[in-house]
Amino acid sequence: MPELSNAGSRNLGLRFAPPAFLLGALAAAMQILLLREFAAHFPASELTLGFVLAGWLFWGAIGSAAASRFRPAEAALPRLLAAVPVLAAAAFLALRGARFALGLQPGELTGAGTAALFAFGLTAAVSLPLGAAFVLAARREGSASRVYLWEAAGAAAGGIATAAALVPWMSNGRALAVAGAAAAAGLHAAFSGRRKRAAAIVVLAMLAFALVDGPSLRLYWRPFELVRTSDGLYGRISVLRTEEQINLYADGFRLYSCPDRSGAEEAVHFALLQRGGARRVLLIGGGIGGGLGEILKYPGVEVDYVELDPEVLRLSEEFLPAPERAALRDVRVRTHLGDGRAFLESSRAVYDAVLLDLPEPATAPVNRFYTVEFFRSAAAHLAEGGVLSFRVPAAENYIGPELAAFLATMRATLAAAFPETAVVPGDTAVFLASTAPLTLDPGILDGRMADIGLRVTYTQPAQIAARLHPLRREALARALASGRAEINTDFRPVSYYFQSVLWSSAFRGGAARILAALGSLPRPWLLVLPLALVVLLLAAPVLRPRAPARILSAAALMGLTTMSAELLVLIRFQTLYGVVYGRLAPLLAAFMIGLAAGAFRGERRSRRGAAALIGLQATLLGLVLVLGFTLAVRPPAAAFPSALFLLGFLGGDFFIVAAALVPAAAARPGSVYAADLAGSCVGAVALSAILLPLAGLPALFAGLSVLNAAGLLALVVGRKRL
Amino acid sequence: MDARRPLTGMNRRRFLRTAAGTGAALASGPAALFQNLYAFQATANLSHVEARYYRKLPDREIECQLCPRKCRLGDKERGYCGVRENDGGRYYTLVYGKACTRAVDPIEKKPFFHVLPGTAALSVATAGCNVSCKFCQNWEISQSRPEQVTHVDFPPRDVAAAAEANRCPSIAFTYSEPTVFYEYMFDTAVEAGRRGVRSLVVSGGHINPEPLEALTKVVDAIKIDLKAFTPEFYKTWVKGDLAPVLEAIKLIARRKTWLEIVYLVIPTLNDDPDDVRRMVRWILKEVGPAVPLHFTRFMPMYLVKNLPPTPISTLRALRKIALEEGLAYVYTGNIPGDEGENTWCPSCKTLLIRRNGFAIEANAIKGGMCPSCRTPVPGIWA
Repeated sequence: MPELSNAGSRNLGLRFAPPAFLLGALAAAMQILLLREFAAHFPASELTLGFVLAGWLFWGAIGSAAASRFRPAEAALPRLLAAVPVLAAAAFLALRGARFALGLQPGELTGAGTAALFAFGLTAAVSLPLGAAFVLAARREGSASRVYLWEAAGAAAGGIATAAALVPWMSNGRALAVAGAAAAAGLHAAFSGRRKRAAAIVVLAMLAFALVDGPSLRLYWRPFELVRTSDGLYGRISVLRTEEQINLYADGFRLYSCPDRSGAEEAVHFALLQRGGARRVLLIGGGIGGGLGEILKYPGVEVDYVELDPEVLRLSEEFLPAPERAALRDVRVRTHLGDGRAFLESSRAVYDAVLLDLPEPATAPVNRFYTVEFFRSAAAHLAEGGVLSFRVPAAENYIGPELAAFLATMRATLAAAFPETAVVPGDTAVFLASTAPLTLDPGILDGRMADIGLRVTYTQPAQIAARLHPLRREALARALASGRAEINTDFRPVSYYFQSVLWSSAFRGGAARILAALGSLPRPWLLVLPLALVVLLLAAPVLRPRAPARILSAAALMGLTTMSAELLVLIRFQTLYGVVYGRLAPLLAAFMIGLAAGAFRGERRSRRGAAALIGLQATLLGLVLVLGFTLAVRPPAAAFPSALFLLGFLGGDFFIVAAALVPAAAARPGSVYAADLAGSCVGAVALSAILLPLAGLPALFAGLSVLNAAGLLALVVGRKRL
Repeated sequence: MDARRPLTGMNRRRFLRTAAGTGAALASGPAALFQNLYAFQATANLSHVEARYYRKLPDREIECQLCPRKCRLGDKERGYCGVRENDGGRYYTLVYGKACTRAVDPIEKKPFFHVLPGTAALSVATAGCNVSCKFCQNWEISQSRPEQVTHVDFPPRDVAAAAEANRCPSIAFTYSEPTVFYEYMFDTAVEAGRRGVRSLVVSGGHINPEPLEALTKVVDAIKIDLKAFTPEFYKTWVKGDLAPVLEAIKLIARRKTWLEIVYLVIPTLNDDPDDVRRMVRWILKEVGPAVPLHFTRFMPMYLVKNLPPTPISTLRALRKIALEEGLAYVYTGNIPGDEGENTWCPSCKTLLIRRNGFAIEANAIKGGMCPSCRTPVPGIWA
């Protein structure tokens, strides 16, 4: 078995490799910023974010493989690195200009196919050169392993710097310009002679981009008047003015328009009229959009209002008319900044009503408010007969099978936490839940409205009577009964699969049918099929007795496992501890630091042979098993960065050992890297949008365990050929 | 060790055999997947009633004559609307009696403001539409083929009986596009007429003159959604044509069938005051000042659900333009409680009907006239 003697290389193994460090820092910064910019232009869902991540990894693998195959000149390395921020800026502008190319209005929806096309197209511009740069850097340094190590270290540093020093303080565009300028400085320091020209060109390009950043955003919203835009911690907040109306958007999604109380009235009154009023109300989201004003119409009420994004509050305070601002400053309102679920779970307060006014559950962070675990937590904080309420988009005149499945799931999930539930039909469906009976009798609701002296516009008696006509309620009841009802849980967030289906169904294309068909498969097939395929690949020794193929397979499996496990751990963290910006960046950095540390360990190994690889594979299997078995407990928050560090550590060490075992690695330094990325891509493309909501966390960890057990077996059986 | 015989004892042939067997077992999963993928294509309880407006062509082709698209179809092909199909050289409607939506709505919701105020309309629709508006409120059915929706058998006789049972003095053909279920609508209107139930049509007006002419003889009122007054808007946002809609409006007005027009105002897309003024002048010239015109507030929907809703001031401004130009009855819609919901006597400005959303708070019209100055107020009041 080949072993690398690194007695001579031990001193070289840790030598700082500035181009590799720069490569990693650039990659991390560009990925974060491109993802944020993409989310601002396409409907935010796990599916679209998965497209971007998958595209990134895919093109990185292609770039790496292509550079290994075609061997561009080493001198191209500084040009490639210089091109990355310039191409990223072009990608930003392409995103903002996408709607013109597609002939769309600002705010007009696009389908999954268009989103995928743009995700893969734009990531190609940035990730392809980065993948190729890895190979050139490896050739320059004479060691793919060392480049991997310093690239990981650079990624950790770049990720932390971007998340901590850029994103909180400036727009995506400006952050890109600063990151690009910093990269130029790095180029200047890392290379000499004519290559310094590349640095100057980058700086100029970044300056030019910074100048067009603001105008390009205004152009995107034309013909609407964009009065302000701000890239906050949680996304882009845009304020549009249409005559006297103020419209607030978060990542292209309209949060509210003012004056327009239609949404606020239905979010509040169907719930609060159940008991003729309320004393203590918890409102999560939606307060600025008029919800607070509606709640304050009830005598004697006090409100805890929780809002995640401080930017929403800040801009609303600046632009809303005085009556709307007055609600925020009312003495009866206590405003809390932070995650609503974390607030509720850490509170001892008991409420008469818990009202959710949030977007639909299309992403993991939002889905946490629509799970049985959250509903049970809310139930525990409600007084006897207290009411929980939320709204989701529906349809007034016809409920198709996709919508029926989603609504039935919401109903079933509520019913798993509350004995009494009711649903108000309409273009939005208003869900109500309580421990005491609920009423949808228009006469009763009308009477209570009159008793309180409630003045409303969109929930007047005639409107309510029309909306709650027996025929409409029967039609809704039939749809709820016909829909495939599942329980939406933290571990199996099936709702955002339904959201992906609903989104795609508006376009009546192939994506809708594929998604719907995947959901109708017996659940075991969803995992068994891909598992079986991968296992067959790992069993390839019989067909491909050459060692490199087996090692590349093992590297791909490692990439798939670490990417998948990383995503699952992050989602689990968000579920348990909330979506707080300041906490996510350190988690991502922990993984990258672990990667670098693991690569360091790999470089320092005295023996990098089959036994080491098998040991690492076994350890990875063990870690996956531990992550799976500990799902039933609630680990402390500190356990998550530790788990991510370990994952990264194993991945980094694995890569170094695998690279040493591939005899062709020296000739084709990108082959193992490409295999790693290809495996990660497979994990990214299907995991969070389809496999996780449909199969669930426990099944996925079980599947990963089976895969890694098969991988271990393949390595053990074929160890003599490694 | 012989490199050709790995330790497992597995050889290439045995591996391939095992893989093939495993693959066959696993293939049942993909087979189920493909079956589900194409489940939409299965026909499901569709009607097979011959269409009334088409002409036969050689080679079993037909040309539909119902709407301006005039789809020319080969055997087994369907029209743009998706609910009519050429079967062996004869053209059939697939949605006769196949209602996917049935509801009881206040008549003001359609909106009809000069027809039986304060009453309820039994509202019926099938799947399909002959245009594709990006802002469609009922896209789930209008942009679907009949096998993609769940429908019930609801023949004309049952529709009329249901209207009586629900104490609805009218039936509204609405939600999707009634033109595409023309035969069903026509026969139901005839049946309803026999029972003294009025028939109302809520349509985009994309219909040919001949069928429209026949329809006006059996229905009582038609509301046309005039989506814009520029051909460009119709081309980009509706995938239709403006000209046939204008012709339809003129025809209905000539036939004396009660007509109301709705203009859904979408910010920046069709709210240009100059275009609206041209439209109002056209209406005055071709239809007359007494046709009610509704400027309705756009609420974000379907593919444009992230556009902002129409500012209220825009609606009020457009209403003012229309009144200044000389239209007698101009309303704002989707703004409950707005002054623009009310009906005023065009002569003496007496408040005739005060509305608040769907509620009629006061109705002073007596015998179809203003109680103060006796000016006739056109409409169907009883």
